[in-house]
Amino acid sequence: MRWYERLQRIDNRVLYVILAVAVAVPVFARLRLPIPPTTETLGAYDAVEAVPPGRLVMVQSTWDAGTIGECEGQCRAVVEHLMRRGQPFVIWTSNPASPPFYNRIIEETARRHGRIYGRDWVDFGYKVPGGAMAFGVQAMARDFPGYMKSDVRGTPVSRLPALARVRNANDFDLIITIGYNPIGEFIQFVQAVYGTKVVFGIAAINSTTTYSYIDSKQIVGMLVGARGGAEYEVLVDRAGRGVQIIMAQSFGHLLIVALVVMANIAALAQRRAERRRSG
Amino acid sequence: MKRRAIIVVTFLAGLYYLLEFVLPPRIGGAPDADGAAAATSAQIGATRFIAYTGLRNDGRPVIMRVRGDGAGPRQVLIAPGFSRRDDYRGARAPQFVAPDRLYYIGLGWDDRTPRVCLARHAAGRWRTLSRAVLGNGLPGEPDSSGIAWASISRETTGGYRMLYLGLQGERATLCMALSPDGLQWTKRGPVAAEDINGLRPLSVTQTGADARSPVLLLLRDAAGRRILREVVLVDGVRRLRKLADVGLPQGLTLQDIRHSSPMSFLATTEEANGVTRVAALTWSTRMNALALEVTNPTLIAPGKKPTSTYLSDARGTVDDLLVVVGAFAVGLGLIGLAQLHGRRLLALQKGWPESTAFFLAAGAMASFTVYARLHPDAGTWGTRGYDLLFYGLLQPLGSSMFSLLAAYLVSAAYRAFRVRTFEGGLLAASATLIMLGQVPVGNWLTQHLPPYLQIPKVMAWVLFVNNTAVVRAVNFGIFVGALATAMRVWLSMDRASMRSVE
Amino acid sequence: MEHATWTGAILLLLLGGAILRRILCARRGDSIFVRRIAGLDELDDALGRATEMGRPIVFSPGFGDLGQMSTYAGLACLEYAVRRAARFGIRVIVPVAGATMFPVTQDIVRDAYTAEGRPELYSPTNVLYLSGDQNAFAAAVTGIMERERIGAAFYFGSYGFESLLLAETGQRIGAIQVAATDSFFQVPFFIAACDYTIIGEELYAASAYLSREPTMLGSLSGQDYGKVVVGSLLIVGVLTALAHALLGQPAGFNPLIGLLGR
Repeated sequence: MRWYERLQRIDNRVLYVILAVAVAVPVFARLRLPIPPTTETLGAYDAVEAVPPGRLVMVQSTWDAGTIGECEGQCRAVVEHLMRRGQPFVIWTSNPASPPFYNRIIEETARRHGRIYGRDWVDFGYKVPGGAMAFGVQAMARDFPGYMKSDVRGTPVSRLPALARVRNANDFDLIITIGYNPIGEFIQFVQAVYGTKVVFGIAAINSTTTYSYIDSKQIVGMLVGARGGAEYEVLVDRAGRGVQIIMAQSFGHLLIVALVVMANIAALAQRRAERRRSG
Repeated sequence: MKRRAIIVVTFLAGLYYLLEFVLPPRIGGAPDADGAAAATSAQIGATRFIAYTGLRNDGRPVIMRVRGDGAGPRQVLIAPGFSRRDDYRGARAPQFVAPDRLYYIGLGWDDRTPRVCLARHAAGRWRTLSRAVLGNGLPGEPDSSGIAWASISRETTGGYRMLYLGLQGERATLCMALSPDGLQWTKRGPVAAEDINGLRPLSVTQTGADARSPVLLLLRDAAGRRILREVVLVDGVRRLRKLADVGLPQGLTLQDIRHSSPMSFLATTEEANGVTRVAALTWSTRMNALALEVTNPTLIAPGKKPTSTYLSDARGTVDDLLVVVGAFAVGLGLIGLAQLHGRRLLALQKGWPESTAFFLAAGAMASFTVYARLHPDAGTWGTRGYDLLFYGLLQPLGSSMFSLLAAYLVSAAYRAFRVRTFEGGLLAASATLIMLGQVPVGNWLTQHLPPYLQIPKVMAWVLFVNNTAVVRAVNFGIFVGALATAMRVWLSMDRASMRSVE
Repeated sequence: MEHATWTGAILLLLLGGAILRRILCARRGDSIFVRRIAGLDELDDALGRATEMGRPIVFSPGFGDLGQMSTYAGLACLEYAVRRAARFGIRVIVPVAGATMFPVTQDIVRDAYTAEGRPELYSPTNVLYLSGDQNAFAAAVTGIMERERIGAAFYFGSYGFESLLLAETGQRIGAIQVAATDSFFQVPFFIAACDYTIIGEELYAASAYLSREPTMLGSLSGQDYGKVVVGSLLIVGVLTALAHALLGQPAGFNPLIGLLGR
């Protein structure tokens, strides 16, 4: 087999091994590159910065073990930013597997900043099943205490200091949703009706369709996959898992680009060789 | 019979949701059905008129006009215009400034930002200017979020002076602007007022044309109590000095107050249920101190209430019904699987060990989950078993399947991005660009190049411009296709959906 | 939005009206032209190749449930594919992810075999309810594909990230693959791994194209009429915005935008 045929027919298993090595190298070698924030990440950061002191933020987190790579960095950075500013927030999820993942992050960040549950954040846990998101978001936007009723510990909403004056979506200045898919219901039933600002934190693959929401100003910012999480971590000065993952991802992408270039060079060489042979 | 019943129920359910979406929740009613607020009065010709804000919960605020005694027909004076940007979402808080001007707060197209707009009276009609006369400030300024309230007076020297409440998020700051003609305004910045730390200004009203005429500030403290303070401008109009606190009528919660004539005021009062009315007040004294007393608590009451269509009222119940119906399907899959695997197991057909595994796995997971839900803090074998199966087995298996994507992506890209045609080359080039742009490497490789050649900038252009256009185009087709399919299913014209009926 | 604006209501009536009218016209007997859709023509070739290899095929109607319109489109194509497969005498494996879809899919497959006069080819194990979890569904389907060494795979419906797992597995075992999805995020994966990919709205057109049923064809034609209406609105909007920008209007606000927002 000629070299250009060999290069076009590399066994998949070899590729997988090279990929594993490529993404492991920056993790062990602790390689770092500058990570300048993009417009959409800056929009998200500025949106949190613009929330007046004492006003509530809603965080909806649906990521779990499957999407930890893309979303953990985003969640860490957002929670760090909110807790550092002392911005009270509520958090809930439509994925029953999500609470342990975000609670781990919140508890660790709260310890560091001396934040108190009930005053600085409230966890509502698994509230709205994925299939009933339209119903749930509408109902909660219309009558938040009436729909949520009590937090994950069973405390009624009226007895939670952070939620003393909450009635509906007008009492939230910002909604941040972090998960694999964008939750379009927040745009449909909250942003469009009450004007509340919305920020998406989503997987990179799903971001292609949500850039149009930024363009039409229906969302004010977006964290795109691991990159968005890394950029936000840099903005809040707390480089962590997001930065680590994006460096590993960088090498993975470089590998793919290198393989594509190599395969095309080989294909070109093969076409030339065949043309020479035939004519 | 069953088929007909299902077709009818499907049609009625779809018809309900369609009507609930298309029809407004309430129809009819006056533009001020949910409240009358923020009034101003002026003499126009031989008649005294009041202009006020008409409020509808399900609509945009409009400015309405009624006779000075609050009686007689009401008409809409200024309705938000679809061709005007600055009062697109509503017009409120009017103020007549003689002889022919009506200033008001317009809520703009962009995030409902409130700005000061102007309508002028000419040839028997009020004509609004197409743009606001005074808008919000730059980020960081005290009026960056807009102007909530304005009080304009025409000075004896011929110029105009505006005291307004600038908004910066939730914070309201008293500011001033001056104008030679009432059209071109120059902001003078915040006006310092004594002793209003911790108090939120609700409205400001000037009581005379002279700069030394008293100004009334309506304030709200942290407990929600209203305070009316008489102040006067000093020090080259950059500071307000307190003259006195003015007593307020008992039992009324004021939202705003505006000077109407030398001795009278128009105020908005709010009831416990949130409905607002316009009340007439007048100067008086109470225990040798200045006070305002009510002359008419309901000078302008809300207008005729709309009629509910009851469609939105029933929405919660209908949604709950559908959720209950859907819940019947929960056991469907499990029963079907149990039947299939049970038959296989009982007959010891090929694959019976896997069927056994199914029953063991389903049974174990269901049992441990139910136990953990009922005793979440037990810490016994039940909760530990649940943790082991869910967090120790199911979640890592899920992550493993998800992580396979990375490996498969490498092999798919390696195989697929072979440039044989122009379109193939375009695909490979854009994929390479996006891949490098999504990671810091792209920035590192091209950071020293001109901006239009830097990968992250090019990627941003591709994503925001090209990608957005294509996504919108494809999505539009998808939505129309989904609409057509939904209509066929609703009208029971779709063969696939009719299978479930037959 | 919670309730329709005036514009939304009018557009809904226009689009819906156009679709209904064309359905009625088609039912009355008007002939409707549908252009060739490349991937769908390959369906028969793929089935033929699978027959030559003597291997079964997999037809997956997607990961969605009966609440999604793409599922109905996928099921319509399933009926066509099963009828064609019945003529060739090849086995069709239909993995299903939603419990509510299971009985519907069983009925479609059974009736399709019966309609072709081959009821003996139907087996209850052809339609497999696997799991509502994407990971479990992907693992199960890829396992089936590997064990059965399928000759062709058809992915018609809504998909999540499992699209690449399925398509790459099919690619590895040498199956011909045709995908049709409205899941925009998964289109790149299908394009990279499948032989033919039908994107977006063509999935909805596919059911009409394959079945040639008057209702479906009329619906497809009505969609095009509706798109012409909205496309015209787009062009008018762009022209008015351009005019505003060029003429330097002091209002700086396009009345058409204002009207559409009402």
